[in-house]
Amino acid sequence: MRNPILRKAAVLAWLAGALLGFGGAAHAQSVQPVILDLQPAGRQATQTLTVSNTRTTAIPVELRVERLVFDANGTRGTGQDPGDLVVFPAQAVIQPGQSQVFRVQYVGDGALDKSRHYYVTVAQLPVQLPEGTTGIQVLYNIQVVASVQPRSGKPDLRVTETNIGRNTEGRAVPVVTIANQSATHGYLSRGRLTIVQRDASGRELIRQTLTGPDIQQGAGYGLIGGNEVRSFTLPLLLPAETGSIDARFEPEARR
Amino acid sequence: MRTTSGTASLAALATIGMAALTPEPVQAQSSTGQVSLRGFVASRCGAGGASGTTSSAFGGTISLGELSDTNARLRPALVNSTSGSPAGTIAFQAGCTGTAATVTLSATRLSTTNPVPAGEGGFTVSNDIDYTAQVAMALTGGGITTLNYTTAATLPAPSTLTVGDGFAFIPDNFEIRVFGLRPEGGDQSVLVAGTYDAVITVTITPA
Repeated sequence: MRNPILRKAAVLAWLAGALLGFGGAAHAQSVQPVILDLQPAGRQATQTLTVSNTRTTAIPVELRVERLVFDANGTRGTGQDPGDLVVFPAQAVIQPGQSQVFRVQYVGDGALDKSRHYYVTVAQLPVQLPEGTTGIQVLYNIQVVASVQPRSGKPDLRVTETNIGRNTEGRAVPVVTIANQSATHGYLSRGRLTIVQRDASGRELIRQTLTGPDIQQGAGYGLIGGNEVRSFTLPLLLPAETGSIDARFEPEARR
Repeated sequence: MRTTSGTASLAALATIGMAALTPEPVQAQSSTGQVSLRGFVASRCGAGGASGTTSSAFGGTISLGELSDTNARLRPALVNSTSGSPAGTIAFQAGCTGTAATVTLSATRLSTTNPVPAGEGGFTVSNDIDYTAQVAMALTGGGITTLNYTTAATLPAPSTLTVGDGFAFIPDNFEIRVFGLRPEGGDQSVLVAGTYDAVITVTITPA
């Protein structure tokens, strides 16, 4: 390759590929995507997820479905599979360096009155240890959140309450309560949140807009079910532990 | 977030590189213009890539070797093990790109299927060993957070922790430690001979 530009481009491409490959290799077992949005019928009733194995040994996995509900702490698996989702194949042995595509299809009630949610757990299965081996196997499970929305409608997320809370390090951060006034689920991270803190005299102490990626990185996707209310601790350090918090949520233009 | 955008930049770089390598008809005239690049990196979660384990024979397994001392009781080193000086460890990389995540930890007792013999007068004999499993996680902002789970005859509910600060995107950002082993019936219990095994399950859920 005599052309220096092409040679440089080739090196860059190799470097990028090598580095991207490292990301996969670092996680010997990875799942993508981790959020599925399904329709109750039609083409969008089916989606796929891919499990990759970059280990040097085969991984036996099983996909398990359970209904997900909302509680004060966010979301919680019920341990009950209502049979609304069909996963194919339900089990697989993924060879080293290979990926397996799993199809997830909603086959439940086609006339939903509000969104339904499920965990699809990609569960690594234990293997038989060699005879005479005493040991503790470490298994990795990765959960995918699958949501099915009613045929029509879109989420209507509104801030209903704001507070000053503390993050895990004890620092003051905003806590916002969001109500979804629609039967269709939504995600806090699919919009922007503008936070304003004022002191007792009304003087503005901080004004900050958190983008969708900011929210997703610091608070997660922020799934809010149809007609549900959730509180979120936001990834924004406040300059004062007292004062008032105003929050405005703007959904992104398209969902 | 740095990881995501970094990966996106690399993806764009790869695209540029590959595009430059694609043969194109040679244009006689020169021109200038802007090329917009747009792409995305879907969030993914992953785990594994174990290293630094006490087991060299079997990937993803914490090997504890011989459990008993010469009196068939649990070795004192296992009984006295602590978080700072665990009986066994395994390190691996885990987490999600682009999103906060919840980690759930559960485990089963270290047991053998060989039954406890009947009529062992004067001895407490056991085929079950309880222990504490701890997952220590390195965080993006520095520091480590831990999550514990201790087994029992009736297994408690899994332990859960949401990590909003994000996991450090480095190898071995997760370490599982096993310590505080206790046979059912107490440290003086005589262990049933056999192969003992258990399972620790780490579940990663996008928040």
